[in-house]
Amino acid sequence: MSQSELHEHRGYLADERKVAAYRAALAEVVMPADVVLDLGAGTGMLGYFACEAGAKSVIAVDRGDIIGLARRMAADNGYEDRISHIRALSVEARVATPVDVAVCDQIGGLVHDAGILTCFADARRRLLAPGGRLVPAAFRIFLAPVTFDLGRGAVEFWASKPADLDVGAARVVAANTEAKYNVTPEDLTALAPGAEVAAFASDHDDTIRGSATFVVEEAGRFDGFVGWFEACMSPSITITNDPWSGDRIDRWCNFYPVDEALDVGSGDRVRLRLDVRPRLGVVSWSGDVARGRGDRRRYRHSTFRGSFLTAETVGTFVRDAPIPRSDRLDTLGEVLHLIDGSRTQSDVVEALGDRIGSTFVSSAELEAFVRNVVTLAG
Amino acid sequence: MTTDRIGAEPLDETPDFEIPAHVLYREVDGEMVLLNLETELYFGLDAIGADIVTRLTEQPATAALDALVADYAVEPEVLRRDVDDLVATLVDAGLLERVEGFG
Repeated sequence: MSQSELHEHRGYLADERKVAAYRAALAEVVMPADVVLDLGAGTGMLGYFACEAGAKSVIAVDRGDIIGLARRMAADNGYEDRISHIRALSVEARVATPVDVAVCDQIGGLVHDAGILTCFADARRRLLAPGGRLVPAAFRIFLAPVTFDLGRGAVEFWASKPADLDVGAARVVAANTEAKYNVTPEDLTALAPGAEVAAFASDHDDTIRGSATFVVEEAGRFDGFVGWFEACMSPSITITNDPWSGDRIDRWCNFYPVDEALDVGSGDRVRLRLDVRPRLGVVSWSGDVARGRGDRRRYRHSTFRGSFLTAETVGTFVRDAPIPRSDRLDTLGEVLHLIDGSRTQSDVVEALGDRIGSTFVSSAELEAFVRNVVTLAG
Repeated sequence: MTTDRIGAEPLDETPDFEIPAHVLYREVDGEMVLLNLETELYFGLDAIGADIVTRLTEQPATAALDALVADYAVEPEVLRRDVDDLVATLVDAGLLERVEGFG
């Protein structure tokens, strides 16, 4: 486990407001004798809260190596007899019987960006008993047009010729990136009050679409939109990362820049259309800015335009294009053929030794290739 | 199959075709990749296909055809047929549509 991973999990535990909200919500939602599924369990904290609430058992699922730590921590907290652990992606996990409650903390900055929708939609289809409950159960998302120096700077940096180099090609990427910022009210100026753009159940993994028209109240530079969520944790508990809320949890907000910063004045109108595709991992934001009389500027952005694509990788997305053969694909076929239940990784590497120097530049690369195949298949 | 034959009389300088709002597109190394959000399918266009689509969505079809004939040194009828085929394919896939009001 890397230092950054450990730091990430420390952050999840240290956010007292969010931790308290999950604890209280699970106390409300979990009934005695419930079986609870903790998706993306990390250190297993939510499972411990479910046990506190009376759960008969908890199934903690996490793909990462942290599952070993979670197992140890379950024992250290006295729950080893009630919590079982599965090392798998949430969408790969199998359970013997449908569960009563699924809980997950992978909300990200604007709900779609850390996987909770995909996990919960899959859980609803495969893992949750009829009438099963989700924590959180529903979301609302909000956006506001803002002046945001940090976000603007992240776009314009690429046009500034750092080190006397022309790196402007990256500007379009920056202007089409859903960026994460830990912001405080001092970092942002809202040009108009935030508006609810969409509301949806937490197992909704289809299109999330919404629109809003903002009437500028505060003259300033329009750099883009800041977005935040409100999660309905239980009938009486909500959490939010609203940068202007005194009750916000310790969570970043997402910033959606516009390519061209525009000065706007009171009464000007900013229209926004947001389109989120959780399954594709693509977010689009478009609209226009009407300033004074007759000056209307359109903008059209998407994370698709902001993704790193090359001619080599495009083929992996285009499903109706022939998949070109390659030496590495041929080797993959051989590796799969050699895995017969008795050969070791060393046996497989040795059998493919003649590929070194052609398909693979070194024995280390071949070994890593075989190890990756085994890890993926395992 | 929908057939969108192009090259009718232009009404003005407005392009006859546009890429719909539900399609995201971008250039990649001279080629074009389109993502239809409704079907969740990606499409790839080679450099020539990308050039055709770019011109058709930036100027009236007749002007686009004239420019393509000049630049690619191809017989007008051959070009028209190829462009018609490409347009029909893209329209069927929801990746291209006629600008509203175009006759």
